[in-house]
Amino acid sequence: MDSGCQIASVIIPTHNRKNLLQGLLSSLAQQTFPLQQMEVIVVADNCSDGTIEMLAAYNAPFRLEFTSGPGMGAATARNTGALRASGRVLIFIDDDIDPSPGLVEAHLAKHTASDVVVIGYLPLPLEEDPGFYRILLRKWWEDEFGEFLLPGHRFSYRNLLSGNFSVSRERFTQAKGFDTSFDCREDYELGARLLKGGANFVFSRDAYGYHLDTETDLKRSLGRKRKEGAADVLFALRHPDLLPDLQISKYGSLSGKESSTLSHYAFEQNKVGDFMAGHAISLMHMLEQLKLRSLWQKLSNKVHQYWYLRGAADALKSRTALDELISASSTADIKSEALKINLKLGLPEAERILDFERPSAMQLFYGDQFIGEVKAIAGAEDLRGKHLRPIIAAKFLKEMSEALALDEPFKTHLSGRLTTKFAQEK
Amino acid sequence: MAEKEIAATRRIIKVLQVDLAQDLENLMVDPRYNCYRILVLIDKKPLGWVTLTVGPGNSYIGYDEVMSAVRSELKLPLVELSILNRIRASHRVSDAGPISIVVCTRDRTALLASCLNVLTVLNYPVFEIIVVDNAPSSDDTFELVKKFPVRYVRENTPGLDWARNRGIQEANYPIVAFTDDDAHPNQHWLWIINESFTNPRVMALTGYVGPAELEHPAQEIFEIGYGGMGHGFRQRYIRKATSTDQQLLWASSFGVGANMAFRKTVFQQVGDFDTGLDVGTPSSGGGDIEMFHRIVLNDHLLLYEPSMIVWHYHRSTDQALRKQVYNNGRSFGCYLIDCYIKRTVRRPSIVRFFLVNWLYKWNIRNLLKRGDTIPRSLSLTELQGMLTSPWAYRKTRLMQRETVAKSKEN
Amino acid sequence: MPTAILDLDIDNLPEAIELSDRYDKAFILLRQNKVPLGKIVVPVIDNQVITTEILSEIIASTGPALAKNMVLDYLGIDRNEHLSQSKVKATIAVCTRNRTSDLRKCIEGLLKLPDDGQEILIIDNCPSNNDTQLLVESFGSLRYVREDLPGLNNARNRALKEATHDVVAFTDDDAIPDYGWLRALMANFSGTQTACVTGLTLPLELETEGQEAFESYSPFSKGFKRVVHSMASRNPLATGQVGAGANMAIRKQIVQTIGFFDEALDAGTLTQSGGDHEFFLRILTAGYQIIYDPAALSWHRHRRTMEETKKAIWGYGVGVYAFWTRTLIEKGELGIIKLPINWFFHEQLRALIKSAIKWPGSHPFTLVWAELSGCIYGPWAYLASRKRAHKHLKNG
Repeated sequence: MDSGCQIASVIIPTHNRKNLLQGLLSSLAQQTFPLQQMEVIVVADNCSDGTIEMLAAYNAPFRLEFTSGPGMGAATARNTGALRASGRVLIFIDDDIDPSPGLVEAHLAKHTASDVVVIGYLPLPLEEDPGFYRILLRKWWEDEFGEFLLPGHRFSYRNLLSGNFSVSRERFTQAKGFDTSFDCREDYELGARLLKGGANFVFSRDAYGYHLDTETDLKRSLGRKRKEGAADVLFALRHPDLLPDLQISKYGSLSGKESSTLSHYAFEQNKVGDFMAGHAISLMHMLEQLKLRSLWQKLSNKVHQYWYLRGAADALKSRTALDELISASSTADIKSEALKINLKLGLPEAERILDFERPSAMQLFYGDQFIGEVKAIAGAEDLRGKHLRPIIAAKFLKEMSEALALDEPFKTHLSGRLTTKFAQEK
Repeated sequence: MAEKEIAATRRIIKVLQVDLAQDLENLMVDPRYNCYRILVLIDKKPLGWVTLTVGPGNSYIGYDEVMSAVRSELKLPLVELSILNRIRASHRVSDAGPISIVVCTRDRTALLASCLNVLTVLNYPVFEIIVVDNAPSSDDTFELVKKFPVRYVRENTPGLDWARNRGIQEANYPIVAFTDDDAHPNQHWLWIINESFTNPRVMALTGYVGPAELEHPAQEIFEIGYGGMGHGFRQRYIRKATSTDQQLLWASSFGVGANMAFRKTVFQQVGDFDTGLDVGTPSSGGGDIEMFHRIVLNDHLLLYEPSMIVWHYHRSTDQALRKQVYNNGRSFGCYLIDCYIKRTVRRPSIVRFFLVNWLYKWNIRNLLKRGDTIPRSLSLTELQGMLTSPWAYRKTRLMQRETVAKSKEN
Repeated sequence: MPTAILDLDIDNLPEAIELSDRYDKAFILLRQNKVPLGKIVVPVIDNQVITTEILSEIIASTGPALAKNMVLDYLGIDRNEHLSQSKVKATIAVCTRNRTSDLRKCIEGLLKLPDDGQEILIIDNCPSNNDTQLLVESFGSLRYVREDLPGLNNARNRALKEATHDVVAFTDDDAIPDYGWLRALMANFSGTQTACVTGLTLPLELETEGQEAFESYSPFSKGFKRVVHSMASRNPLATGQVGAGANMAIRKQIVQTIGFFDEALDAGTLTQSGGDHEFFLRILTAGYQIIYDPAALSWHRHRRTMEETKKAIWGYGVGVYAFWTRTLIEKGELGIIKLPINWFFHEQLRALIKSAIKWPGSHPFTLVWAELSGCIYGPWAYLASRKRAHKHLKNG
């Protein structure tokens, strides 16, 4: 095969993690996927720890390209990598991932059509005696993946986790890659555009890589939360229709007392707020010592919310700006009509209709009996045939059993013409 | 105008039954009624009631309307029945065994005639009807019965239980079914009785009693407010081993004399109906429930089978209703006194049952309850009846002794 | 009088069941396609149970599950998927000590399981003779390992270390696993967060007063609904309802995070029991899930005499307080203090009063009292046992 036209391009943005990167490259060398059909593109972003030298000297059994640049951020780095890629499928992997030997093969196996976007599994390795924060962090990730595994899961833009995913080069180019104005949440934003463009998200548990992130702790997490707050403001401007799904939508001045207190401090009294948030962390340390889990968790939620709002305040400056953002978005809300589906047509037929129509919402009937309604979810993919049965099994067991029960007497007793036997005369 | 107002203020209920396995068309509306209370069955098994109001000018109730009421009000029984049908072991269709029907009556020829009209045309191959005329004041019943293919027996000792015992004596067949002269069973009544007795352990059988009509306010109050005579649509096997003392004492929940059947051999084992009790004696009732209580206490199986349906004409006037409720209070009191004297269950249980279950939970709470279901005066009437029961019990036992002595002399 | 144990398939109910005349009740397990859906206890009359008489009890106990299955069938969703072979292989571990007659039946049951390449490991815990070894060797295909440190938790830890496969399924030596037991346990490990799966344990026999008392006082069964237990769904410190060590499977890797079973706890030590529940607690507080799946059915032979039953229940009291003590002093879990208070005021006190005045349906006073006195002894038992365990560790 011509070495200029590969099948898979693995794109790795990296920043000062020479050792992890080296491990990653050697894991890529162990792939079950034919190495000659695969290229690896490393984009070193402002590296000063000898990463470039390591790459230059690296003797890879696959085509290895690297490029470097000063402080461009992950989104730009990934776009840069994509520009240099020649593969049919782009696999994005972060530098703190240790891919399993089957990762590339598993990604490729799911790319049966050009609209497929494969999300890989990122388990955190087991830790010895982790603290509260790390326990919950791992749980957050695993809950997320657990949801992807549920039959009938409707993928959302938030399910695009940039640490380990793949997309056809064609799609990626069409979408013009990541939006580089995002400092974080660039993956969600790409996810939103890909989904709107009709992409088909799938999850592959086999495409797993251990997430060797040992650095994230409470402090980092709070710092990130602040960035996310700012990024969500930008996100709401780009995608007003998704605002209801964003956290900031819950902090307008019309929202509940608790959230309005938080946003009051974040927007208007941030000196006091920062002071209190700082002390809250000391309090959390104390609660952790006493192992008072639920209190700790409540406080942690509060502090995270506070820093998120601080980020939003960084971008918006005032609460009136937040209210304007929310009201502007709500007018952009697009009403969608629910598709009526009669299950008496037979399940395969109902599934075919769903696959053809791809409605955002549906109303299920069995004959003239109403079973239930599946509402449109902001940011989620439109309904597909494969969602139908799992949704009924998960949400409408009771209604469905009633419908079937009512159907039964007619099935078993009705024969020939309908006869009338009027009630017994008294 | 005046008519319209009346129609708007008072509902006039028509009672119907619809079997979803058969009746699948629109129901014609009789202009005299503005409300339909429909017993819904599926293949003879009752699911429950639905109530439909008919607007003025509608000439029929749409099939869809009935179905949507069924859907919204009878979901649970529907699913249950459907599951039951799935798991029920394929039961043998049993041959029709002969059954004796006993109807006890006294001076109520009009009611008896309509009852016999239904009984004589029941869809069943082998059965006999025995009319026991209890201490009649005239020959009217005798004359009436001549017109029907039934057996006439006269029992001169007054008292419903004397009549019942006479009916058992006269019955030729191993199964004896009882209904009242002011009631009539459903078409497949005897088939259900026959099927229920295929389990050789079932010694006594009771069924659902529904209102034949709800034309009069008194009937509506009795059926809907007071609870009527039905005991739900769940089949129940009642036996001593699985019942608490309280459940055993609440024998009025096992069934009603208007719709009961027995294996004749059970009377050899537990004895006949207690002639000191029931209508026609000072106790004014309770003979049926005392029999249920006795059968279950003797380790026999009693089955409450809701598919076995009888329609009963409730009292149509306020006065008659009041009398019946008064009698209920009195007769149930007599029955409890009887249980206490005979120590059928532990005495503390009886005292507790009387105070907690009957006096407090049923009577006092009904009295305290606000609302329009049971008029308070009716609860008071029942309480009055209850208070007279010690006196009534004493008197009925004295009378019973006299009667027995007299009959021995004769 | 004793209770007969029956196992019925709802789709093939017999018309009547004939029983020996020594029974006056029947404990009936109801299944559909091998999956347990519910249980009922019905009277046996004239040595018979007639099915039509118990239909309404059957519906009351299994109705919702049957309705659910009706819909799943309509949807064409395979409701027995969890009874097929799963990718992960298992090591079955039986920890035993001087109970060869029970062990023989247990092993015979294990050998009847479908062969999915599982390994069977018998851990002989501090035996006083070599009967167990001879018995195990007579079966041939089993692995025999002798653990000389006394204590069930030592044996369990040994099993975790010796096991070849990723998941270790534990069964007691006095239990007989059902045909689908292992597969049902294993199917639940497909979730990424599952560290442990527990199953339904029902009485193998209820022939004596002691067994009846045990089953009514502290049944192993946690119901017929599959439950995912996690930090989010329950207080992770209260693990009594999660399952029991007699019927559980553990992902071996988890010990890297939460450590091994505590040698100071459970049978063979002063603390009598509690080792399993303490381990569950650590799993949950580490943020992992424990799944209770009634499809993983096992039949347990309860102690036969009233004396043994009393001792077992006393032992539960000791074990619970022992592991709470451990959790408080070793893990510093302050929240644990709430549990004994709740237990005492919401359950134990009421049970004690009821049994003292012989309230209908109450438990025998001796049992309630045995449990309470066990509780009082529990903390001391733990402290003493810990001292001994440390000594063993040093000597070993």
